[in-house]
Formats: sequence, structure tokens, C-alpha cells
Amino acid sequence: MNSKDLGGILDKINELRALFIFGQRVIPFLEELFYFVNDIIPVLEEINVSIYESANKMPRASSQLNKVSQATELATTEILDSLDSVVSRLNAIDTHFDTATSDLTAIGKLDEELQELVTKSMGGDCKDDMRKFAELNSRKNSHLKAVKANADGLEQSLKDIRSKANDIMFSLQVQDITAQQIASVNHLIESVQSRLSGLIERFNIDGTELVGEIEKLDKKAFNPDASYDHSADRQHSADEIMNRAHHLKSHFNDYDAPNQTESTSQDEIDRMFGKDEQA
Amino acid sequence: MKFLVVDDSQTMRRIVNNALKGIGYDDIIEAEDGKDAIAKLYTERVDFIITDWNMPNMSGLELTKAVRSDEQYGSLPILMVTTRGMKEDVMEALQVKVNNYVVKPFTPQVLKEKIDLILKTI
Repeated sequence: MNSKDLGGILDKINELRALFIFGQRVIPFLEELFYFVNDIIPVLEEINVSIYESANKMPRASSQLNKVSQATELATTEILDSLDSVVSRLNAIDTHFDTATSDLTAIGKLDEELQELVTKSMGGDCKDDMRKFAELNSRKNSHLKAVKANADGLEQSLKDIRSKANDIMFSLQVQDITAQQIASVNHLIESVQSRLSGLIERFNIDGTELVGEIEKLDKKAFNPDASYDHSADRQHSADEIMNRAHHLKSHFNDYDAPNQTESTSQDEIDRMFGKDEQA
Repeated sequence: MKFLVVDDSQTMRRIVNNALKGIGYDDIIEAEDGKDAIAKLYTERVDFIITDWNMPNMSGLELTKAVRSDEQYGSLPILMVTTRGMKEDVMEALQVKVNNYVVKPFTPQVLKEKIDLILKTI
């Protein structure tokens, strides 16, 4: 063994020494890492259980929402049935009321004729009786006027009730709008549940039973932005676009009439609106 | 005049139906979605369509496209009644040639106004 070989051995020993020194420094870090992993395992298991439980609760949440939607629809149908019944009775009252009003008018006319007849046949001879007759007739007429005034009041009340029944009916549009909002939330729940089921399936090492399925109801189409907004702003905005389009279409048709059975392209619509802005 | 009311919501069909009767139109038939509407079009004479947008099987937009591309029914007046009130939605409806557009919730006055307007312009 020459000095060159000895030098090589010393180099290797030095490398080993450096490795031991490094190992000594790394050991506390590895110990810390070991304790950290030890601590995090129960946390991860807890998260796993939590994901599993949440995913399991989702079908129930979704089913509850569907029940809310169905119950609201049923209640709305009942309200509409009752409203139809109210309106049909109002119509019957209207008919009776019209008959009663015509009868009152006929009674008034007959009274006038009777008064004329009595005055004609008795006017000259029985002045006292005629005075009495005129007085009674005047009292009767004031009663008749009061009945007519009450009838007018009744007619107005009937109109008000009809108008309120109408308002209630149109407010029931809220059912369709909330049903769409609920369908949108349900869709979201279904998507999250599907993702979580996928995760659970991937990490299902111990063969735990997978989460339940969300009940599949009839496919419901919905607008996630549906809102029960009574302000006329959205209708005005739609009207504005429709009015401009109709106005410009007639102008546009003069030289480029799109066939009624052909759909208008976005470019055409943009051109219509663009043209208007330039005008 | 015979109306075809197309909406997947039974509540909405009844409301539109009652509104039409209130205006004085009693001849009304109903369909649950676009497909059902197309089937009704081939079995009954219809003069006016009032349709929702978001429906399963066939949307109001698809129904309008289908009607407009039909030789026999292509020029039927179509009123879209929908919860979709964004400018882009109205433009999209315009693109398939709906005659007018009503945003839900609507009032009977608005419905009457739009029907009158369509009947005046066709």
C-alpha cells in the first residue's frame, strides 16, 4: 500500500465523518418529522371520517330540499284551487248582483209609472191623500237610493276582492322561482357529493362502505339566477332590447330581410344594435 | 284564438292560463316541455305560443328554433316568459326569433301588453 492509497482511504474516512456529522444534525429533524407524522395521522383519519360523514349526509340534505320543493308545490296547488273557488263564487255573486241591480232599476221605473198613474187618476180629488202619497213615495225613494249606494259599495268591494285574489295568484309565481333556486342548490350538492365519493373511493383502503346515492328525481331544468324580484327593471331592460330590435328590424329588412324561418345570427343582432348606436 | 302554454311548472301553467282567461282568451291548451309542445302542434291547431325557457327534454329556446324551422308553423307568434332577465338572455331569445319577452315574476298587465303588441305587429 503506497501513500497514494493511504491518502484515498483518509479521504473516504473524512467523507464518512462528514456523513456522520450530517447524520447527527439530521437525526433531530427526522425525529421531529416522525412525531409530526405520528400526530397528523389521527388528524387525517378524522378528516377522512368527516368527509365520509359529510358525503353521507348529502343525500339526506338533497332529499329534504326536494321534499321542501314538493311540499311548496302541493301547497301552491291548494292555494290556487282555493283561489279558483273564490273567483268562481265571486263570478256567481257578480251574476246575482247584476240581476239584483237590474231588478232595482226595474222597481224604480215601475214606481215612477205607478206614481204617474195614481197622480193622474186621483190628483184632482184627494189632495190630502196625494200629499201623503208623495211623502211616502219620497221616503221610499230615499231608501231606494240608499240601497243603490250600498250596492255600489258592494260592487267596489267585489272588485277589490277580485283584484286581491288576482294579486295572490300572481304572487304564487314565487313557487316556480324558489323551485328553480332549490334545484340549483341540489345540483351543487350533487356535484360536491360526487367529488367526495370519488375521494373516498380512492382512499378506501380498509374497505369502508361507500356513501349512499342521492335520490334521482325527474330531471329539473333551472335558472341558477332565478330571483323573485318585483322591480320592473329587468322587464324594462328586456323591453328596451326588444323594442330596439323590432324598430331596427323593420329598417334592416328594407335591404337585408332575414327569412322568418331562419335564425338571426349574433352578427346580425350586433349589426342591428351597432347601426342604432351610430344613428 | 288558441293559445299553447308551455311550462314544466304546473303552477306557472295555471297562472298563465288564468291570466289569459282574465284577458278574455278561453281557448288554451298546455304542454309540459318543448317536446310535448311539438307533439301538441301536430295534433291541434294553435295560433299563439307562450313558452318558458328552462324546461327538461326540450327548452323554450330549442322549441322556438324547431318551430321557426318548420314550414307549417314557422310564423307562429311566440312569447317567451322566463326567469332569465340578463341582457344576454334576451339577445339569445331574439336570435332565435321570439316575438317578445316577459321576465318572471310578471303582472297580468305586462302579459296583456305583450300579447296585444305581438298581435298588432304580426
